[in-house]
Amino acid sequence: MKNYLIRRILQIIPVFLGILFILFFIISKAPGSITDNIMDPRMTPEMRAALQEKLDPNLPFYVKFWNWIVEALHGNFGFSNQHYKPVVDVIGANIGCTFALALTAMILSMLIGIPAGIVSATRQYSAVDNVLTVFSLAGLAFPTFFLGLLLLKVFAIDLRWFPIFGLSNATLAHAPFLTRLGDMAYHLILPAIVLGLAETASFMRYTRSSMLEVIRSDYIRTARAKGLNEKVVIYKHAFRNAMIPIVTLLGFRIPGLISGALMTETVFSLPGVGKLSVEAVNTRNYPLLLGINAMLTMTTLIATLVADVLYAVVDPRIRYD
Amino acid sequence: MTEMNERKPLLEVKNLKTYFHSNGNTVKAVDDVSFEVYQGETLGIVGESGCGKSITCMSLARLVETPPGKYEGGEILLEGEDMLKISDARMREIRGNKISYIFQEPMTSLNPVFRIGMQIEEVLMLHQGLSKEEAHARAIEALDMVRIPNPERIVNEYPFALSGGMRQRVMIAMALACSPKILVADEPTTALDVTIQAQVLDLMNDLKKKIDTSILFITHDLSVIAEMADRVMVMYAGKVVELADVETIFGNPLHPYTRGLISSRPDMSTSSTRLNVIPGNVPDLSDLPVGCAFQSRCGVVCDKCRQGTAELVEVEPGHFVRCFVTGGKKE
Amino acid sequence: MTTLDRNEIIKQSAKKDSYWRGVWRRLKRNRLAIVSAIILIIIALACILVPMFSKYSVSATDVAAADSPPTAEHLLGTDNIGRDLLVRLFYGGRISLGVAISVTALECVIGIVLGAVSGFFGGIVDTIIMRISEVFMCFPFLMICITLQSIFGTSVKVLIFILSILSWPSIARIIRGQILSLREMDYMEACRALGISNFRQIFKHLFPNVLAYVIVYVTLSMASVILTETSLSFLGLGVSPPTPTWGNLIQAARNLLILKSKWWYWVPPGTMIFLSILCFNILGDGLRDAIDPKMQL
Repeated sequence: MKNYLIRRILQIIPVFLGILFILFFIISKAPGSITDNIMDPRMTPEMRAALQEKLDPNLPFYVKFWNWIVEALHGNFGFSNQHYKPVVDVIGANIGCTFALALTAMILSMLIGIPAGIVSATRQYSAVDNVLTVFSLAGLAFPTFFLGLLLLKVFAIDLRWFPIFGLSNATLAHAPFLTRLGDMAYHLILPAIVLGLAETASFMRYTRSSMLEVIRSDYIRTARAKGLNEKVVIYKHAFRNAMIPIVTLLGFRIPGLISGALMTETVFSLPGVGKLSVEAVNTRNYPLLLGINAMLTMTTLIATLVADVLYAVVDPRIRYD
Repeated sequence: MTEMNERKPLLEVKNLKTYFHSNGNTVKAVDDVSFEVYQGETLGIVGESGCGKSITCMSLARLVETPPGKYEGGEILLEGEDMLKISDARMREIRGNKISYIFQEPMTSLNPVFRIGMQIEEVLMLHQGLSKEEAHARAIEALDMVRIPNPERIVNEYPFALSGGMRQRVMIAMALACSPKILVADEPTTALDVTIQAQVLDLMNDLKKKIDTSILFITHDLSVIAEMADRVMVMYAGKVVELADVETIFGNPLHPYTRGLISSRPDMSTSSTRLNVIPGNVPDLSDLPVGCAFQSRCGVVCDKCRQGTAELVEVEPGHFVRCFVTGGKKE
Repeated sequence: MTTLDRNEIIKQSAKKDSYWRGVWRRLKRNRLAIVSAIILIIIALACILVPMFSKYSVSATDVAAADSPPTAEHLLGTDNIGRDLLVRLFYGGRISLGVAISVTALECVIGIVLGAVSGFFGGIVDTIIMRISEVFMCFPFLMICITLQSIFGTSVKVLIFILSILSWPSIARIIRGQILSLREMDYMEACRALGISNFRQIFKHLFPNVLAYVIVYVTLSMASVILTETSLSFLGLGVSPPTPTWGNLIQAARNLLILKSKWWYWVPPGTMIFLSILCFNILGDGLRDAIDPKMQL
């Protein structure tokens, strides 16, 4: 188990560095220079060049990359000129919303998707299975932004059950903490449903196919031949095995979940990383883009690592390797 | 033998029909099969793959998936109780308790995510109402009984840590934990190495005497049958074609299929280097010819065989054959 | 040897023929998949024909009829500068589907070549390609697209290039896996022992296997590329106006007034995206079940 984890961590490091390297390389090829945004008419080309040399000295690419990595390891991801703040602080101010959204959607989708998948598998081809299968096909086909717009139109604009945008109500800025938390949850309901729907659909689909495969296996026949009742056979013997591929899915879904969160934030105008990155693109804020990418890559890799650990927990074959 | 026949059978299967329905096709996997099993005997069931021998045995404890399977008729009487009529709850009380199973694939028949001990304890706690601790102690005994070394250690292992032969012993320990009346062994040694095979067969014979259980032994390997069985039932395309005690089957086989099976085994006593084979393949069960299912492969086929199916006839006491040509009573 | 070869070929071709016929027979039984295929064909035909035969062109403005709800003249209404939204919807479909087809084709070419190289040569080449593919698979996909687009611009060509560069690893891994498992098989050992060229054998046996996987992969990939392209275009990246795509047509709904009361701007393109993704997914599932339900895709 320990060896397994160490091996996985050692495998992740080169992948992480590889991704950062490619990102850094691409961004270093970006047009424009760091001084483009400084619109001071008194600035002569010489002054501009001097400033350029000071802010972004003309060094070989690999030296720049190395410097960036060293700085990043110290928690310095550069400075965002638009925000007059370090990149880390800018991301830090926005990441809470994205995480809250992604986490809520993930938990919601597991709580609904996994049991629904089991029911679907144990009653293959029944009416319930057909309804759930249609639901999951539709859930997977709905683009997050279109579903978001539809729900926004129906539930927020027409029915006025939910707020139209944002994460909090400005009039509650000085209300007690719990009130503000409740207000935030209220703002997150619709976005979480939107993001959760596609996730629920994919959990359901995977659980169903995984369960169907497990149910046909020899050890399930053994469990039945022992005289165990069907509930024990399904929820203990089959489910523990079906969980194994689902746990791997957990890791694989993270990039998709993040993409989904970015889209959802844009639709609901939530102050999260998604909105931030669209802004960063529009203002060509490359340090910020690089920081966001590095942060998301790290999140993804950590998530896959967590999935690996969970994998070892559910599968004794890995644990004892 | 005669003494045995006078006793009341432990298990009586009468006209069992297990069919599979899919896409408008009907596969008669078990077609009107009848046989008895007596206390303490081993009945061997032989046939090529797809002849219905496994489905017959799975039907005994209603383990065939329904759908696509369906029990179309017949009776399965275990100590007078009809397995096809009892409730699901009662059926579960019998499974693993009165009828136990060992399957062909030891590598996949144990649940990979649970400890060996837990998988044995589960049966004991379920059927004998033992506590967790009692069951654990009994699980260790059971492992010891099937001659697994260091049972105290193995009981806490996961299946992947054991070899195929060891896993099959675990399966046997699990199946015999509740001292069942009938042990159904579905090709238990097919997937094992030859030396391990012999060990496992020895073990089964010993344990059978020890706990006085009856065994239904399914195999396609005649040498195994010769070693294990008291009586032998030969199946072909879902039907019983011959049933007799083991000496008769090997000494005086009557059905052409049985003869083919026996002559196709490697014979160490002659120097012949070629094996006899039965020409052709097992017919498609969803598309059987009119008449005898064996006709296309039979050396003594006659017109009658292409028109109707012969009855299973008792040609001598205890020896049943289904064949127009070789199985007719001397008239 | 020659007679044996010929018999082998005859047997093979007979097998291949009945193999694909079997696939077709099983696929035909899956009514949902067939209906999906028909819907996709209708959508594709509409995308080709409607802009061709409509009396309005994509960019022609009709200020007098600007911002009108659906009428007999403009079946799906017009936008704020009087462009016919029905024509724009199907013209946008051309772009969206065109991008999906190009990306899928390109990623398959890259993926098949790299996967085959990886599988054939093994060793260090294999390790390098597989490590690179891992790096690509861990990218925060949408973010990278956004970043690349912000640097290289938002033309259709750039978009196709970026998406194909980012998506080749999955098909490469599938092809590599197929080659590796084929190399392990007994008859390959036999061929090697007989000194028969490995390459020819592998290609002969590989082709039908890989073709099956590629067909299913292509279908499912179409769905995911449509989703990515429309998502990016919705964010204002991807393909930018005036060239319409299903994604940037919906972008209009980020205006609250349009979202609230002018459904004809955004509901039709959204429905087209939903329908085409749904149909490609169902068709892909159907194909997989018809070819080999155990296929891991």
